[in-house]
Amino acid sequence: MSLLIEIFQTSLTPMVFLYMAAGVLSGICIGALPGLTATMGVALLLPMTFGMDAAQGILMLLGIYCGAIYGGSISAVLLHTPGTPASAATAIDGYALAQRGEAGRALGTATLSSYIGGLVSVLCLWLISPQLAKLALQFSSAEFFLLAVFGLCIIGNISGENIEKGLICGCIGILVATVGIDSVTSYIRFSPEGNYNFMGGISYIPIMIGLFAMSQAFENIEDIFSEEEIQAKITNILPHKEDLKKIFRIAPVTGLIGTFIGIIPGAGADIGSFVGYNVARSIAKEPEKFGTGSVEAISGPEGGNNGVTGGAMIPMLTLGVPGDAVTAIMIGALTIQGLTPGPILFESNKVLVYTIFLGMFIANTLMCLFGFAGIRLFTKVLSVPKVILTPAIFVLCIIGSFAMKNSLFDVWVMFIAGIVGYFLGKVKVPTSPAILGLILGPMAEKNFRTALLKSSGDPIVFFNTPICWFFLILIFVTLFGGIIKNALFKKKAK
Amino acid sequence: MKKGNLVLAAICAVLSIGIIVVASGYPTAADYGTGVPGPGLWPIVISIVLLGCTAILLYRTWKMKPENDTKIELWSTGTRRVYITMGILAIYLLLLEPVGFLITTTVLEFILIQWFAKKNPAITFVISAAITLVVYSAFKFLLNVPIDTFGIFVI
Repeated sequence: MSLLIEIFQTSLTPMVFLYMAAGVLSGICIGALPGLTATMGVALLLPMTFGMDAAQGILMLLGIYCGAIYGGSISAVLLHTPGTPASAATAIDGYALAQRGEAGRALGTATLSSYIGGLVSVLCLWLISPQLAKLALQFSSAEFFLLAVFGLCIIGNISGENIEKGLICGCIGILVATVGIDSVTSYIRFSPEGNYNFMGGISYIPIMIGLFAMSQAFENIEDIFSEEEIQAKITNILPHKEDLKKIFRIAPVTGLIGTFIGIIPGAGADIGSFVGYNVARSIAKEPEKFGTGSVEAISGPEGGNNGVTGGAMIPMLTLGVPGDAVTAIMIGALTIQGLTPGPILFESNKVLVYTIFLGMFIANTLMCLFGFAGIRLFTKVLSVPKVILTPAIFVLCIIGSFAMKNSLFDVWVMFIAGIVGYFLGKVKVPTSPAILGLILGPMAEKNFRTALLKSSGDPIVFFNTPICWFFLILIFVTLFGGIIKNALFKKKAK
Repeated sequence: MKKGNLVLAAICAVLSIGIIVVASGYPTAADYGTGVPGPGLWPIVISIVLLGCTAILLYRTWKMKPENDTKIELWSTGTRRVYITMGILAIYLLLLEPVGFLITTTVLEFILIQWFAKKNPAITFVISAAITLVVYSAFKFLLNVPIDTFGIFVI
């Protein structure tokens, strides 16, 4: 109780509420605009948090995150174009319902389901995180090295069919992170002599802004003249009794599944959404209506994708390993504030951690309130012409990458990352692995070498504890689980 | 896609070999005498993994069926528009430091919006100036980012 009072006295001030509300509102607008993803929104608005204190900054980003994941459903329903990849599954039945003149019903279902999914994930965040952090306090360098390797192995899972391309991108991310002064020996690596910009290392925030926001803006330029018309009228937003029954049966389940998907490093809201859709079909009372405008088919993915938001925060806060690309950016936000995500954060900054938990609940509630109250207003966002929005995004990318260190070098890094990201997209190379590499690469290297330093170079240190073995098994399953499964199925088929 | 994959593989191969060569010249564990691997080991290990992935990419590209070989549009009207935008942005970044944020950004926005939207130039100018001023004010006054420490109007 005293902790709750302390949270309200020190962190959850009216100003924080204001920032959070601004975050949720801008998140919904960003999510609603096709081509602007939650990751792009958080990367683009991250520099806004540099002047804020930790609670204000991180809660604003959380607001953007929750808002954007929900906002994607607006264009999915009205335009059949998911605002974010996380709403792709919602577009199937949401648009079908809108075509029948029930766009309001579809949007109301999406809003309430997103809220329920978000609440379930906050509850899990609250219950699981402290326990996981306690366990993580027992980690030494060897365990942290294996944890980072496990995180890097996830690259394969998020690369779709192009595993080798995902790994290539991840390796490039790790290699970029090695530029500058080596943290163990202070030796200067891959830096032109006397160039302090390189010696200090290449920050990953300009790279993230470049890869996610700038390259996306370049893609938008390709079809800058295409504008889509909103077809549907929005009435009857509040769900009926029958719909409420369906939503309350589906959304908590898919929200819970989404949360656990979010916990897996690398698995994002898009996966949560499609898994949510499938689970909803398997537990729905009318599965035959899926694809024709079913309320249950909207509720499933929306519960699932918003469930991921809280789930992704769990490994980020407790282990310092990002659950998805957005939480990777949030690690950057915390680092800029001088805070290191991980188990120590639960000891050294308990108030902030619980403020984040409570803030996540408030962000979801604000999202629901804004969703029901302002849905007609948010649909107006879809009318903002790309021809004005895209040049404005360029300026935000530029000033955003400058703002972190007030360095024009970072602006060039962002620009080059944007160009590289654009061409990587052309050859179907996923760019998220680069961010995992940039964050987990230094963590893996530092802990690998520290562990060897402690053991005087004896590699047995990586096999000493049960936690090490747990991670080794996880790594093995991640790398070879698919191959073993395929081999077993082939045997059975024979 | 095949050509794209081959170009990607070539770049990755050059990059990884280059890193291996450079990192091989860094001090080794023996130089430190503590058993800790030197600063070159990690980049070398990752470069070897990168080289391995490049080999797999080459193999899969070689085995790719013709029907899976999709064409990459690198010289369409849309992509040419992107290249011109990249060029404009590169010139903007070169001018940003000597000229300053306010002037260069207003000009950049004016050029891009006029090109894409084809509005009345006066309206385009107002929109460009408005975007620039809003971004400038938000970062300068709300977030204390010193974006006027370079250029003609240094404060």
